[in-house]
Amino acid sequence: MYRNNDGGTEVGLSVHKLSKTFETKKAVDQISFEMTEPGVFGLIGTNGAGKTTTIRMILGIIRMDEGTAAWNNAPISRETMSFGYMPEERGIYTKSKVFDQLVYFGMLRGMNKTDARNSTSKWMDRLGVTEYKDMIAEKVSKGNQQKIQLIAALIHNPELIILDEPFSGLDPVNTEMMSNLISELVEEKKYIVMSSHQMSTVEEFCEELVMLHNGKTILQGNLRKIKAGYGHTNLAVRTARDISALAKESGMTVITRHADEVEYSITGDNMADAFLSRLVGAGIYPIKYEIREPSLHEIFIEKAGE
Amino acid sequence: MKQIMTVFGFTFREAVKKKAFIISTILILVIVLVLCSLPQLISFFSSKSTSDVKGNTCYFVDDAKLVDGAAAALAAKYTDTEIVLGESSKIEEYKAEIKDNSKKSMIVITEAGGAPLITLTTKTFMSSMDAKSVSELLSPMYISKTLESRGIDGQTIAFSQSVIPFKAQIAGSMDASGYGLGILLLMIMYFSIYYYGYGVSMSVATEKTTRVMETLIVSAKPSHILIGKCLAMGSLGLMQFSMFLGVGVIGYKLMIPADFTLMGMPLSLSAFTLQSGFLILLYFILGYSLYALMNAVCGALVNKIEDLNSAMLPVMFISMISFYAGYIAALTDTSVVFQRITMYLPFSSPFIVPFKLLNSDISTMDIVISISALIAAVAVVGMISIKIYTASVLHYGKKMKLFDLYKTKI
Repeated sequence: MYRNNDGGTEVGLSVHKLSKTFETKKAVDQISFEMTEPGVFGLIGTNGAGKTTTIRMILGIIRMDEGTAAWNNAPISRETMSFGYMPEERGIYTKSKVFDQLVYFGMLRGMNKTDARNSTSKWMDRLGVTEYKDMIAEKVSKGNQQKIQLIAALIHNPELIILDEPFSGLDPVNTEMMSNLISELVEEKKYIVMSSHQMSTVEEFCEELVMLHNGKTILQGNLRKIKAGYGHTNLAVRTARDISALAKESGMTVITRHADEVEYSITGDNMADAFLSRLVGAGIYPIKYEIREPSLHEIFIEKAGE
Repeated sequence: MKQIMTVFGFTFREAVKKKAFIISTILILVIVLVLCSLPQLISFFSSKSTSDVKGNTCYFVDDAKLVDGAAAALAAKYTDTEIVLGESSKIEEYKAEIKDNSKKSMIVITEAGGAPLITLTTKTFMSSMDAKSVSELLSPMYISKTLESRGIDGQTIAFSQSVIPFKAQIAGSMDASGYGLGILLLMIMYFSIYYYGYGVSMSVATEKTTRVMETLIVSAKPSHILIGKCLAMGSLGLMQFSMFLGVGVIGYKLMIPADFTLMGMPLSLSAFTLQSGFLILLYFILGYSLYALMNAVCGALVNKIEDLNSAMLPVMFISMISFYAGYIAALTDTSVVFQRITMYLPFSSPFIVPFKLLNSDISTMDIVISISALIAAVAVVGMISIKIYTASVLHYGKKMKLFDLYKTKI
């Protein structure tokens, strides 16, 4: 840990004004953030927003045009720190045995052969893929290949873990496995940077985030505070009868309409109170009446649409 | 260094386990053994062919008896051919037979301008008989007979047909054995450098196209990956080559007779010395490194494995032109300037210098200059290759030009 330039907060990961231009396209434009506590940091945005380029610059895979990326106040490099990286484009040696290549990845990260073998066995057991250890990787299912890729990132017990779109392409069972693993890593006080375009998954894990759009930061900070800043803007109502006329009279607009539930946009708690009184006055008793903050998805749509 | 050795170990182990490597090794070992047993096979079959079985037939027509004893002389020279005395009235019949049968031929002696004319008819120009040698055989006989009929004494006739004795001397040290082995080595060097260099480019291209590279590159320096791979494939080549050589030497010792000759050339490994062996090994390592580094860049440039061959074309052209330059310099009596250029040029020296070494046809100064140039070229090409490789291994999508890659800031 180190003290940042303001002499204030101690930080682990510090990214300062990262920029990258490919030919004429500015892929990343002056992105800055800090990760001061163990946990999950979200790097969110649509495809092409600049998430992967930002990660690649942080890890030194591609050179940044401007800016700095530091871990404990020292430049990040594969030689000086221990980080684990699961790239968005999954890549393993398809013609090699699973166990052999994981040991190889471990040794490349500085482990000796015995430690690499032990760690590989431990992680394969933990993720339930031990039965594939002597199998050629291309014969293993996609989901299990993804687990192998994850083991390659975690095998050397890194301090900082960067997961680029970790939930992409996973079925529900493996999504659950990945969620559980991330939770366990958080309990182990790991620093995790997770990029995703799936807002719901980020919302589940991240306290702090940066939202990117066309290479620029459009929103940044603590997720709870961001949402709290928006106030109660959504009202989800489930009733036995049609209430659309009453809602329209109350000045509420529909955000989403499901089979048995409608979500309305409201200006605040007063509007929700008034609408509830009106429903009860009309003899309609809601089965569900939920006032809540906007979802990250809605915030993103609003911000990216500006 | 540890990372280089890790990449080396993994690449080497994976390559050795590949079916293609195992099958090609076994196949070539079998071919080496078969080649070593060739002398035994040749002597076995030639002992059979020395029996009285005559496979060919030659009609001999000399109605005017212009060359006395010609049929007997032909039979004595062409032991595999039965000389059948024919008639001039059946010449067309014989021709029709020859047209359908390559084992048949016809010699007709007629008179033209007061002298005999020998006409040889064969199915193709590739017949074992040729008109010139038939003429060389029969001419002295005809001249002797003519001179004798004109009253010239036997001693004068014999003198008139005598040939001035001659012998050939070679001022240099190149002998048939060194020459043969040199040509063989030249071809083996080209094949090895191309084949194992191709292995490097294939390995790099596979890592890039299967996206393993992104995992590798955060773990190891690109230069370490590149060097480790080149070392692994080079060692694989040396190991495989040593196996072939070992089996070849054992086969040579056990199966090839000491007095065996191939097309008149003695087969001997005497041209190999410890010094020449060491220098040949050095040229293989340096030559292979030079081409492997360039091939690695080719592998890093492609997005799809099927594009690899077209990406390798420039390097293939360089290696082919260099090989043929070396081959021409070895085989033909080219100018000293051309010989020097091929010996000093790093792309061609790994092909021509081993040939020259086996034939002691190169000075120490030439070796020093050649090796220095080769080491410098490996260093320069290595630095450029590492830079381009680093820039291109994670570049997907639009094809980049080499110059763009080199100047890319990464």
